[in-house]
Amino acid sequence: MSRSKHTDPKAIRALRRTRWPFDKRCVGDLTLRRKIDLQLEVAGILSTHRPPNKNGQSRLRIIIQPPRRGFHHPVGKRDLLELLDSLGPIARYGLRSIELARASVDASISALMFGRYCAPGRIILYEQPLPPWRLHGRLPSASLRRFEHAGAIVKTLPALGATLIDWPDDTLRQFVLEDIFLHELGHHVLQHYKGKRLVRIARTHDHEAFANRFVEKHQSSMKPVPRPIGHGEEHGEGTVLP
Amino acid sequence: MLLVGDGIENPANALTMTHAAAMFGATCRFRDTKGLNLNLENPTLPEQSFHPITRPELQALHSRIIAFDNLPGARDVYGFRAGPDFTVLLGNERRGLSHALASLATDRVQIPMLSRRINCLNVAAASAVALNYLCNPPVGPMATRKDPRSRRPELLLLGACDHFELGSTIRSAAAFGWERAFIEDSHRVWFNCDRGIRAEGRAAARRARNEILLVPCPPASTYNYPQAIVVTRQEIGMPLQRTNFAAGPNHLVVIPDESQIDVTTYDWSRFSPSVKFAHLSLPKTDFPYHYRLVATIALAEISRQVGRPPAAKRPAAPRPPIYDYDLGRIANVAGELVALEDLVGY
Repeated sequence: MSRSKHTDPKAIRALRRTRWPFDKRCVGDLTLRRKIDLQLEVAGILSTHRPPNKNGQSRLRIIIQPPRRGFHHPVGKRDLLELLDSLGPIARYGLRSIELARASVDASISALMFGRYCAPGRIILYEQPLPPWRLHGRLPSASLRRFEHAGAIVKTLPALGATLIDWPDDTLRQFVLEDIFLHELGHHVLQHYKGKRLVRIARTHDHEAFANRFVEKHQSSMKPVPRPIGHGEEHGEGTVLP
Repeated sequence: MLLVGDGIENPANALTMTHAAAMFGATCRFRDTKGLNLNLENPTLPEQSFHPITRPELQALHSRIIAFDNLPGARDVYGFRAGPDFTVLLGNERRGLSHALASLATDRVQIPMLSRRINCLNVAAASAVALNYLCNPPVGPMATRKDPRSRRPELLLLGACDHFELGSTIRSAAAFGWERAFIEDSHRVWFNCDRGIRAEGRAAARRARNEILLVPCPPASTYNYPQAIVVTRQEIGMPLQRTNFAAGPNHLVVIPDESQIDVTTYDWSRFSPSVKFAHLSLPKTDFPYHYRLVATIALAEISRQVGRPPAAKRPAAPRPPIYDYDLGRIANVAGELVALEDLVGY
């Protein structure tokens, strides 16, 4: 039983399946193969990247939709790939696409959309308004705490019944990357490793709880992702008054 | 009304199309791309040439051009309202309508076929069905029934004298969903016939993929059906569209070859004690008779009344799970009035 592939830890299984996606389950001696892999990896011959497909392209698609005027994508393709690399194969395995998309036109500004996970393996990160965000009404305390934890400067304007959120420096990018994207990856990991790709495998509450735990677990063990050069061109003009 | 054959290869089919047009008082012309007039060396055909038509002429003649072929998006001919002035286009026997003519069409119409293996009719028979439904007042759509087989009457093809005509009729019967038919072959054109006749008849019936069961019936044998309906071109009995054919397999529909059988004097009592007549609604009574044309029109009408099973509904796949991450609804605060000066100062 100890050598059964079905009892592989997630990380080992993900690594194996990303490297040899079409191998039969019964191929090779696992112990020997892992030893060889480890040696090859140490020697720098084998990388944890997914092998390219026939066209020489990575199987993971990153689709970038240009944002609307007054909006921008806080993270870029390079940020996402670097984060995925730092997490290892557990996050990449089964991930089909990451989309930097526009928010739907009829979405209200009072309910900002950050991200979405669509099973199987599709993560959507929505465009965000250029900071500072001036939101009508008061934020729920949980959201306030989350923003402040991410480095945002939140100012409540009780006289105007509004909330002002500013994202100094690199904080919005870090928030999108290390909070939203990791949260969606958490959904993906839970959903994908159950093997039932198109079936809801946990209650929504449990799914969200797992995604939050995934964020907490990986935030603490993650190195800060360096900001790539030339990143951060703003699409659109001026600030936006939500 | 104008019937146009596009790229018809077989002169016998072209001639029968001309006769089908004559049945309904329409004219028939051909867009000859397959050397139709060059193939008139067959001594069995009368000396005549087929009137050609070109694409620009066709465009200029009628504003409504109906492509009669099983093209994508084609509507059923049953219940289709064509209006008084139109052109019907029918295509080549094997390849159907050419793109050049299909692109001119303002409407696309087809005859719904029920067989899985025979999905088209003889081109002349199809032209007769087209003109029958487009020239006559519109009928209702094809019936939808849970079990159409329980409403389909038995079919007897009586006294056909031409193997091509009988073969095309058998092909039509299979295409319209009959699984068996009785044949009273008094002229020996189907059973126990010459090898050449047999081969030509089988080819016309597309026997290689036609799975209909043909039951030979001895001439002058008696039957005991509760009711028999005789289909005729003479104005006897009810019009075809107003006769109820969907009475089930206890009923027999007899289609006699009227070039050999006089319907008025024939002894019909041997089929059933109760015999009814149904006639085709034709504007003219004097036209060259073709068994396949009359029979196919009758079979199309019976098929319309018998109907088809409802289209199977595919169960909708469950929606894959989607998880959103958003800010959540912000607590609403009552708005307040702001003066313009304050707003400018802000």
